[in-house]
Amino acid sequence: MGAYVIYSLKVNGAAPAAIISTNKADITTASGCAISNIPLVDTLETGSFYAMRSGMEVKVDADSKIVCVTNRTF
Amino acid sequence: MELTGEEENMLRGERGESLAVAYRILLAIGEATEAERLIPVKWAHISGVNYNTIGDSGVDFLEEFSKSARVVIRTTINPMGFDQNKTVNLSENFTQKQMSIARSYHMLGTTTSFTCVPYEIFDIPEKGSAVSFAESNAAVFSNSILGLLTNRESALSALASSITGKSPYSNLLMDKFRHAKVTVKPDYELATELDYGLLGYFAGNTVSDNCIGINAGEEKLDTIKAKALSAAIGTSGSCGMFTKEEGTKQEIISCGKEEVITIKDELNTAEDGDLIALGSPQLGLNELHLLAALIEGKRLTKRCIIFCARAIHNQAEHLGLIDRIEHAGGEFMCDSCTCLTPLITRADFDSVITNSVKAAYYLNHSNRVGVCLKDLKTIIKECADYN
Repeated sequence: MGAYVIYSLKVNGAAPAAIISTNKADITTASGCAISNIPLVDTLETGSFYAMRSGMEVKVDADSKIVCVTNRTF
Repeated sequence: MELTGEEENMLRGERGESLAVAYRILLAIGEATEAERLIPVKWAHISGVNYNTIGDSGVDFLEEFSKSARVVIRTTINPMGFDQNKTVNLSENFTQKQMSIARSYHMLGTTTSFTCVPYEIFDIPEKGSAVSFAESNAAVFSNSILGLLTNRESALSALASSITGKSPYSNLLMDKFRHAKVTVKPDYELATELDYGLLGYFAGNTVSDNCIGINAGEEKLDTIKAKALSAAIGTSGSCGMFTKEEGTKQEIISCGKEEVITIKDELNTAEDGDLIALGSPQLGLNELHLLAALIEGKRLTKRCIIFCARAIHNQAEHLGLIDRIEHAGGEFMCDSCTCLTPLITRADFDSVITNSVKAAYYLNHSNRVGVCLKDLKTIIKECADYN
């Protein structure tokens, strides 16, 4: 997927609110998120990642690289 | 990543919004690749030129961006969707949007080369020079064959480098990342450019490192095979370089005939084709020489489109190659490339014959047409009759 595809999602109101990755972000994703103002946190520890489930509310602070599960609804 | 005071100022927008956006991109990719600083680059090659690849939001972004931004280093650009000098049967919307993109890149001050093989056209900086190449085949070829240093940049990160003259000092720009931990070794003999393409596809798909070792037995790869290998590595994975260097600590992965047959089965989705498409990457002079020799005294029995850069076409014209190929029925398209061109669609063609693994991937997945993969000599043998 190209960097412009991420930008296109943003312009068309279809972009994710944030992107969390367990791996290192690649250059395409990082640059696409940068111009689209999509918070991106990478290399999240896998245990935390798998603790997230559909329906949970997650706060992402990309500047501080903090991902916080604030509301468990199930 | 640490920025200098001047870079911080530009990030804050003191020199305009376009430079601020560019530094935001460089900062993001610098953080992602764990760079400590930015370094100067001598050349940027930008992708994201074909309207099919960037869409309406990309057209608008470039129009706005190019109002104030100007490139500060040599900047070349990828192919667009069609040949500007030919009347093509495309929608008015596509043509208008494509020409808007071309205007924006012209406004930015780029050399509107419309080529994916800048390394076959422009003077090559001295070995060890850092550049910023977004086209994957150009990045892999330049790192591996020319000794230039580039990461696999995105359309936006190469654009950011073009107007700042900088790139994060990380990954393949650093010597320590330019050595293979894994070497792919075919256990059969490679003969044609297609064999090298299939090997590259296997290697790129199998190894996720920045740099892959390839031990195909040959001391020095010729340009045609190196292009096929580079393009295929760039198509199937994120690797940005191959090397022949072998070390005792390297893991060796064997590539057998069965693996290659599996890949060919995946990409070869048609028995035959209505059209021959050559040029992904665009053909260079040596390939045009070979093609002209192969079809000498023959006539192509199928429509054959040859994609090449205008600069190569001009040189080939002087050498008489264009006349010889057109005389045999070949049809040239400059400024564009087999991949993602709107000139090859399911509406016009059920399937296409090509010798390019990269073209096969994109024709199958993006253009949605069937693909018959054969090496160039076989294509000409089967699809051209003696006059």
